[in-house]
Amino acid sequence: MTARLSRRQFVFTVGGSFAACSIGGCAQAPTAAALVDRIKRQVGIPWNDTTYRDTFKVGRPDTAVRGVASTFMTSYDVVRKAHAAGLNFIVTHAPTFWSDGDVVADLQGDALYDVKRRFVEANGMVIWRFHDHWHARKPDGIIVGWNRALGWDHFVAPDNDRLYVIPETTLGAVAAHVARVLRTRSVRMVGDPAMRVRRVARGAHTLVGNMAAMPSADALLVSEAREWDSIEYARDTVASGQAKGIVLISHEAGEEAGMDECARWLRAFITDVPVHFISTTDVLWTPGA
Amino acid sequence: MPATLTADQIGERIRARVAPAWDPAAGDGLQVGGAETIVTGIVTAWTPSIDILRAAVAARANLIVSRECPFWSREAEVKGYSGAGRTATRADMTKDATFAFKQQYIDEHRLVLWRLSSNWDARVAAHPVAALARALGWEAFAREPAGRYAVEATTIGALADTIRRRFSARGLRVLGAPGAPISTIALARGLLLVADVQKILRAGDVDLFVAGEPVEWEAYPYIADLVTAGRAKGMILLGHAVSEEPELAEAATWLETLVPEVPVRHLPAGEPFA
Repeated sequence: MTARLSRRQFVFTVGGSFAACSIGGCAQAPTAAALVDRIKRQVGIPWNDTTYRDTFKVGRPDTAVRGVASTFMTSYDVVRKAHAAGLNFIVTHAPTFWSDGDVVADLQGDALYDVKRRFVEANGMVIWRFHDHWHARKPDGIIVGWNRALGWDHFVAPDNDRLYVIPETTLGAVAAHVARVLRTRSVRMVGDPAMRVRRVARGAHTLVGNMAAMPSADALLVSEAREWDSIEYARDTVASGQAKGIVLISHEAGEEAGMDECARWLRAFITDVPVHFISTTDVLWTPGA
Repeated sequence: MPATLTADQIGERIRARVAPAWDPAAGDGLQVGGAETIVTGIVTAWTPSIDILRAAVAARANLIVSRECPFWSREAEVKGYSGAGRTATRADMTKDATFAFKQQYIDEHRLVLWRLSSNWDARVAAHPVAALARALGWEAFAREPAGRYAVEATTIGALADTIRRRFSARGLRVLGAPGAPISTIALARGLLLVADVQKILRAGDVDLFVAGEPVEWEAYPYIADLVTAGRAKGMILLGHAVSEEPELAEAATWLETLVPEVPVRHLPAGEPFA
């Protein structure tokens, strides 16, 4: 994980703090807040200061950063892996404390919250969420990573960046491809696996998003949606006689390639400390599959 | 003389008897169709899918009592989870081909769709997963508080396989090592929220959660973090439909006694997954 160093430059620890040094002297390690300022300058769209999502979640923004981890979700597992890798600033796409707003008021006295928060604080770590602006970038950073992971970059429809026109195949084959390239064992499907598929649209978490995407496509590729609305809508769509289907994958399988892409993007302007992607890992499996 | 009960007369019996007090704000009751329709037969179903509506018509039933909504979206209630996004509006629906097909089918067959969800929950509040536990064959394993079960020592993998076969379920998802030994289980159905998990844990830790559907930025990662922290072994996700289906069978049994004049049957919606 160590950054590539020139002969005149090395990294050492003094009392737990890091400094990058050269013959000219030691430059202080950047703080997490300074790195966020760099991200804001680089993101290429006006920064929305009213977002409740893209903010610091736990840890001190003035923490000296030894290394950056980009991840889909700061699960406790990811936090521990980042610490073990010496990366103390985590850029996460999804929440840390189990709600969209990371609302911790409901977690006072919650033992798991205490364990996770104390691990972050005791190890001098800091977590910052990067969701809205990474999606709002042109093109959407999550979709850039997703297209690359699927190997579908060159299938994107010219007039609709949420639609892929792929060589004709079946719904079942799309599900198998997605399972293989996204390394997920919990793929579910609505519709006839033998159905012919050529136009695949990227779906949404919401019913409105999936209703909007359905007319343009043979099949939707959906990364987490509610079973009572989007999935039942798909079942009824099939039952109504339309040749349609859904391939349903977990939230992290659908989005974490976009945070691998984020690590690549961060490395272009964070060169003073190492930047690594840490997989959240879709650990769900389906029995009998 | 054949019975001539209207949908609303049957609805009135349900409203009067299902729970200690009918909550009119819960979004239950008539969803689609005419309240004055003469009911020829009643079907209970988890969701009034097009497949269920066709099966009801084939069975000469025209009143469908379901837990979920006709047009998928739970418009009349707070969703209960964070970051849920915008709810589908009538404008979203009217331009949708599936909506148009389903609405036309309902109209043509003069079906009445009636929702029974939160008020049913009030009825079973003391033992919300009793029906699911009976379907699992777990009655003898029940412990206090309600929803906690101590099964014979097994592993996550073996139990997942048993449940898969018992429910013929294709869409089960499992978190945890297949070989992990488990005995103490928390059973939940439907949408699982973080607050539900916290309530379960206040009565002590469990090895395994068996639940319906968690949000993957809420209760799912909460339980994954519990596993990382060594406080649980894993989770078996049944899927929303599988976890609630047994209650609709019990609702049919209850309606048979409440409305003896009209034939009542439960039609399994089944899981939506291929």
